[in-house]
Amino acid sequence: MKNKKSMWIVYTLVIVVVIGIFFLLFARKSPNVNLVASPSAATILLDGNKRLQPGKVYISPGKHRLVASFNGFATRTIVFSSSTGLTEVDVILEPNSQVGYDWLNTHPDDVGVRQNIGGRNYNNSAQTLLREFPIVANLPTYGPGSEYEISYGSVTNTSGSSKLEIDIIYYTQAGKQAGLQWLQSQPYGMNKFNVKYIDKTSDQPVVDNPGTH
Amino acid sequence: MIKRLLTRFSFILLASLLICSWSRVTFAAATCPSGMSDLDCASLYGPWTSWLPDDGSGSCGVSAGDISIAAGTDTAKWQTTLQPPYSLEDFMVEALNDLAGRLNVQTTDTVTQQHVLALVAMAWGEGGNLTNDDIYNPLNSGGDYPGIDLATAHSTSGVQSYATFNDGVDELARIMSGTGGAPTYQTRLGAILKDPSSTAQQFMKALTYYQNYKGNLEWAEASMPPNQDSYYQQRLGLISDTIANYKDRASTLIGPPGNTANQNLHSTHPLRYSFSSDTSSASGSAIASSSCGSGGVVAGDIVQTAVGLAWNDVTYPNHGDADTAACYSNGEAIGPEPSDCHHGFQESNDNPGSTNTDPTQYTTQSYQAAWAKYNKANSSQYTDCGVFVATVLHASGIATDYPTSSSGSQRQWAIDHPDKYMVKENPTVADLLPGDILVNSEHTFIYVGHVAGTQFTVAEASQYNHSPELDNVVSNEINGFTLVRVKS
Repeated sequence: MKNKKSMWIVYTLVIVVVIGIFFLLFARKSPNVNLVASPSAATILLDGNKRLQPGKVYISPGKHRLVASFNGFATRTIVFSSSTGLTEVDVILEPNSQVGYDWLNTHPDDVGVRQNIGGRNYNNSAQTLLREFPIVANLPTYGPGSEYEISYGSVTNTSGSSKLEIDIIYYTQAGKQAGLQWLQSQPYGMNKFNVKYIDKTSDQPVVDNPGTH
Repeated sequence: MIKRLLTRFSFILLASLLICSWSRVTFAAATCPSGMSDLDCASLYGPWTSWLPDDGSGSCGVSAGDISIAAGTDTAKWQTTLQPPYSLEDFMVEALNDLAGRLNVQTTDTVTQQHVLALVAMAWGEGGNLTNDDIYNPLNSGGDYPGIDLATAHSTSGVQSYATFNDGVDELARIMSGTGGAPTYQTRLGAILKDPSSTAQQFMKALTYYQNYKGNLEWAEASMPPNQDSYYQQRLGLISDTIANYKDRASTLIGPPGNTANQNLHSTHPLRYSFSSDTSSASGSAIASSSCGSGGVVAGDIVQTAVGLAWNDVTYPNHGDADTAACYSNGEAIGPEPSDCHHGFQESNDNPGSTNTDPTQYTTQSYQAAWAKYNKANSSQYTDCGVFVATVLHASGIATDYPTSSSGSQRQWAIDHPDKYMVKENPTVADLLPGDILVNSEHTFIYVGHVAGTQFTVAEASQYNHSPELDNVVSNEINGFTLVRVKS
């Protein structure tokens, strides 16, 4: 009787272990990567061997490498990190031949996907720029007599400090100074900018023409 | 017998007149170019053409210099009732008052906010009196006519300095009306300025493309071919920038000692006009304010059409959030605006993930109409960025063969048609002029400069993100885009 009871305990333990091993080996894990791709039929290889389809998939947490390719489009490699939370990975290939453009023309849903991502990314970058450098809302600006134009370029990050390239395009020497004075009069502080002067004094437009007015 | 002959002759004459009239109407309707403004069409064919539909063909029987403009009638020399010091706005308002008399129209026709804006912006581009010593001559005029007194000896350089405020004002009114001894080279400007509905953009267009007007010549050598398109775009930029700095610019002193902008000298007169997005400051105070425009399509004008379709006339449903009620975008203030303005259709914010099948909930009425007319047959995606840009180009008549959707195809089309489009890869913000299109295979939008009454600079849509709207900044990450500029 005592042996029979012990046997039951052993049987139960074996079954629990077997079921646990089964789950560990075969149970599906929750998707943690949302793979968005255009072309949607692109060949996407994960870490050089596993082929993926667009959609939500599970990829073990850590750093990974995707290589995506499709006829008519430039092959693209993307390095990303997955985690336990859901991460979106956008795989947008650029057409590099007429074959690619033709493919897009016949796949409007794919165009929608890429334009959704492209528009969102563009908007995000614009708003990020505005938050960090509110002066861009006032740019470009032009000086009196078209003596100068002030615009902006890229952001550089050195020693943890971001700076925005400010372009002072001047058409006269006085315009160069006037442009700098305008910039200094703005309430943002010069230490946030990399000022770049662009000399266009030789391009000074002729603004007058004797005899016609 | 004679009576019968006279009756028949009268009948034939009447029939001929009717046929002639019909032919003229038909001719006008069939040949009014889609890229030509109503004002230009009216100048060419008569005001009755304004109600005629544009055939949208883009074809035009108009050859250079076809638009004739009659000179005005000379009047007594202008005598202002204003007291010095004079502002640039004072100068332009008085010149427009003087012009009204010379063109035999009401001063309410010539003195409008748009006309003053156009002249102040033009002055800022010319720099007369502002950045030189030629006083009372903000547009760098060269006129030396009977009864106009000069401050210095006649300048052979072509730019004069005038003795008094009245001399400068009168000279400008004369040259724009072709009266008082002035040649008729610039009469197109008077023709634009006597139409109370004409815009600053239309003024700049006429200023630039002078050869469309019989007997007219360029104002500036910089506007001569092959530089006309860039000159025009720069004038549009001046308008945008003047709106954003109106108080500062319009209040700038006109008169001695010259170089008044360089020296930051301002008049203390109150300004007549203001713009709600104006962030500049000056000693004058405003007594009138701009408001949202009427919106909609403006033939031949990418910027105005883009703004009109993306903004202004929408009846936006009140979603009960701050975004929509006070002209805010995505929770972020976009500048001081009249409280009755509406803009922005933050689709994903209101309904994340929605494809929004009901455009009336999220787009302007003008965009719904334009999209239905020009693009609905080609795409069901009214929030698509490429569809929006194409709709603007088609509706304005600027490029009626631009691909109707898909930014990648649009980019390729522009590259493949160098006769119609100037293309620059990987542009910078400094390259942009109002009306430029930025495009790559993922996104496209229109740079519109600083829009009146706002801090907006971009018109765009984004599929499943938001319907056509105006945004207040150009991202500096545009080096992956292609700049496309439509050639005129």
